[in-house]
Amino acid sequence: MDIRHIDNFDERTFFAYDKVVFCFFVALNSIPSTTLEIFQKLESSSKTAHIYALAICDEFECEKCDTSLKIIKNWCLHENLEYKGDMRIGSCLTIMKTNNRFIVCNQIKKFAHAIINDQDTHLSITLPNEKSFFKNANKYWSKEIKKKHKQRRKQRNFF
Amino acid sequence: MKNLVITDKDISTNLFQNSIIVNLNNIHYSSCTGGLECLKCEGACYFKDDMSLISRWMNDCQLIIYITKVKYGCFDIPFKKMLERLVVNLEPYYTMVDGETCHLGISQLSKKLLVIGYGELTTDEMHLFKDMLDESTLGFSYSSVDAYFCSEDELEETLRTFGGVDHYV
Repeated sequence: MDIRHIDNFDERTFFAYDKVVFCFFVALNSIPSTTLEIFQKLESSSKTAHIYALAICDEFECEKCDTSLKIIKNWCLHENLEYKGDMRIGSCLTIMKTNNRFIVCNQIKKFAHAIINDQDTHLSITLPNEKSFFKNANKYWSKEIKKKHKQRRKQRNFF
Repeated sequence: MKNLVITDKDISTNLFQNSIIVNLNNIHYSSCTGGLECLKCEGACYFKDDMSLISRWMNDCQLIIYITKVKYGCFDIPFKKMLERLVVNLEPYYTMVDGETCHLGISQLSKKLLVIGYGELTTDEMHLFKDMLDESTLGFSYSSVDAYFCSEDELEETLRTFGGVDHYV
């Protein structure tokens, strides 16, 4: 499996693969501009790959990824590509810091298995309830903000 | 603060005389790095470019008009890049609005959003774009969010229809 980052993505390599997975963090409830740039680069060239998507959002509801997935489906329709499936991950900033990370890993393995076997798949995972989301997510931001404050203070003292 | 018109196409300045018109082709702005660092630094963006001023204007005006190309049911790349930089106007903590979790906008000044989308669009793409607009404006205090669509050839005529709309806000 090859992993290509947007910074070193060469559209010519796209044609070398029969399955392509787009992984992205949902930006303002839709697909990020970097992915749109890839779409634009690949426009109007004959392609045959099967398309999968792994969409990640920081909110609790996995449904926040749906608009992005619909946009990818639209692109596949325009480009005559076959859209095979997706995986949606909600609460992404905190879920890997809780015990739910094991479930996330299992789901990702399931997703990978479906891709290898060329199966249609639609998976989603988020924290079990809103209460745990608010507790963990707001704690995450408090910690990060404190960390940044500390860093800034250190920098100021250094100079 | 005047109203704000943000466009990705050259338009006549006479159409929106009570607004500041920002043409994305004439400003310099970097792409968002997506690390949400600005939310950790109380809204201080790493980049100091034209978007620093525009994001402040966005908080202060009462009517925002977007004129954008719509592709696959989404904003086109220059517009999307600009919108991604507006993450800086969000609160880091989560809140529940209409039964959904979201980040609240920093400015709670009530404003209106009018989007004029142009391009060759199917009905599904129009619906998708409207849904996306509704979702992405959830945490902001928009009193109304409206979207109108036309083809690129009809844009000038459509803009003439909407010209002067900023006079009534």
